[in-house]
Amino acid sequence: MDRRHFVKTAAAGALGCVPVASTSPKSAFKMKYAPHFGMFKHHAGNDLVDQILFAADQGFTAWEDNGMKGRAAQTQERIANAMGQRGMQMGVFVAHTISWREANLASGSSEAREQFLKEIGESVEVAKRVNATWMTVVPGHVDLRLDMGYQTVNVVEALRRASEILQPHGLVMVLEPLNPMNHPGLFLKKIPQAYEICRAVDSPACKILNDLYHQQITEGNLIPNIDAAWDEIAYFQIGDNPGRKEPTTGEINYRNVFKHIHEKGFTGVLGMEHGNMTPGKEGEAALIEAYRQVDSF
Amino acid sequence: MHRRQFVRNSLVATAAVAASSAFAPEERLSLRGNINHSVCKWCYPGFSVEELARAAQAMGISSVELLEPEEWPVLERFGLTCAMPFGPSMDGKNRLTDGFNEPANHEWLIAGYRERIAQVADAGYDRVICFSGNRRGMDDETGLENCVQGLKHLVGDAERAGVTLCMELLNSKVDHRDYQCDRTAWGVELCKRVGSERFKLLYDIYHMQIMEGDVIRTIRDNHAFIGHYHTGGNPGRNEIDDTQELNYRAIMQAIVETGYAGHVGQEFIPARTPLVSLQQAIAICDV
Repeated sequence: MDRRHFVKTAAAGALGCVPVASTSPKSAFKMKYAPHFGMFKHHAGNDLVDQILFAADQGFTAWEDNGMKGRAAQTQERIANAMGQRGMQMGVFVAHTISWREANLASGSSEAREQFLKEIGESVEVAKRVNATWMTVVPGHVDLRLDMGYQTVNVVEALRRASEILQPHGLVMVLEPLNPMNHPGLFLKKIPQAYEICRAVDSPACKILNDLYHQQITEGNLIPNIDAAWDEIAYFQIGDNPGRKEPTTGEINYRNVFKHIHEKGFTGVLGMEHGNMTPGKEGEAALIEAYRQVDSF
Repeated sequence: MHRRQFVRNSLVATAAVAASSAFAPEERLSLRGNINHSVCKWCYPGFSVEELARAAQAMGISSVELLEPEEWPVLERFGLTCAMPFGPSMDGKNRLTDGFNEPANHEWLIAGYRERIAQVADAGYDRVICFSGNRRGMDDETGLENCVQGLKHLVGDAERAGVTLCMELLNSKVDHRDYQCDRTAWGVELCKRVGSERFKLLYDIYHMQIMEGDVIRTIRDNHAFIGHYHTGGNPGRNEIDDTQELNYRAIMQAIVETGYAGHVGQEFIPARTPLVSLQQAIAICDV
């Protein structure tokens, strides 16, 4: 769908009394909330660039795409060009194959580590192509045969090697703890643990991705953990709990959490790694309105 | 909860909060009746029980809680209940840190609670608070078994009197270092082992946000074992509004959806004008 068609469709939608997001450019959000592909497809259609341009019109100043690495180089460039034209910042993409069921980095296996480092090297090229600074790393499954102390050392060693690859390019891998309810058996679960690892790796190329949805499930106490691990947190992701939908649909008071992060001087990206509470155009408009509400601090 | 309903409720709450900025007791909130509101006396040290009861009554709050028996008669004059009376005390013992997990406490706890259960029932109340005590190096299993051994002498009295013993879940990181009943899973296991409808948990939302998060799911999964709720903003234990990290309206909605018929006790420490903050908290929680 081209943009002109899109505007027409949106106008028709408005006449039909379905709540739709306005197409006239909106003032930018205070923080760099980053939507992803699919989130606005009922307004913007299936074309990737149309979706990015629609988000820009709504005041979003960042975008993230977990699956960026799997896209054709030509597509990556097209996305990056569109974002560049609208001054939008690229958020994370997933940097490597996540080992969901078997230990890889935690086991200390040199084979697994070399595979990981090879993929990190490939991700450098992707990051450059799409102007990304951050890429997501998930250290994989625990190794049930090893004490946690040994596993931690194995993970730290692998991440040090990866940092040596990334640091010269000014790139940063962000380690994401995931909640054990949705992802049982993974090595990295808590913010204090991620903090411990980042301090041990001791590189500006290795930081924390604090996904507030996961952490609300795993450990709660969001603001105190943000404060305690602040020096190592480079990236946030968002999702209310329960349900993993937009802010205002669950138990987290995102307006105050964002205010707190903003007041601490955070200028990075906050990925909207959640679903839409309500389907269709109505849901997309409600999601944007929810972000307006929680951004008004 | 539907989004539309949530947005509407938020607007009502915002309006109510705006109105409360110039608090006057006669400006009684129009409450929905889905949540029974209660307030903890200790959070208002500048007020007598009578002063707090009068203010509570004016706001539509139906209970002042965590009171001693000699304080209960005051409530009657205002038509209020005490949704969560204090348990017995003993010279040389701390009620929170010296609890049912230590067999050496059982004698005075059993005698004290027998008397207190009778007093509570006589007053027409139906709950009483209790505590696990501190760990002092004790493992989870020993703590559970010790609590069961003590509580089994009381559940018969509680059942006959129609009074529910509620053991409070407290955080052991910030406010109550070393307290044993600091995890919902441990408390639920204790409820199962005690095996009486008259022994439940007091789920304190503030304390459990510090210890474990995942508040709404925990309430939905375990509400059969929860006999009372407390509030408080995290971090800081102050107002439960936009100055902290929980969305209390969504949590209250989840509590209502479980069919909960008891009270929700406001247990935040007001950092601003106490009664204005209290009325704001009631507006927030009145879903």
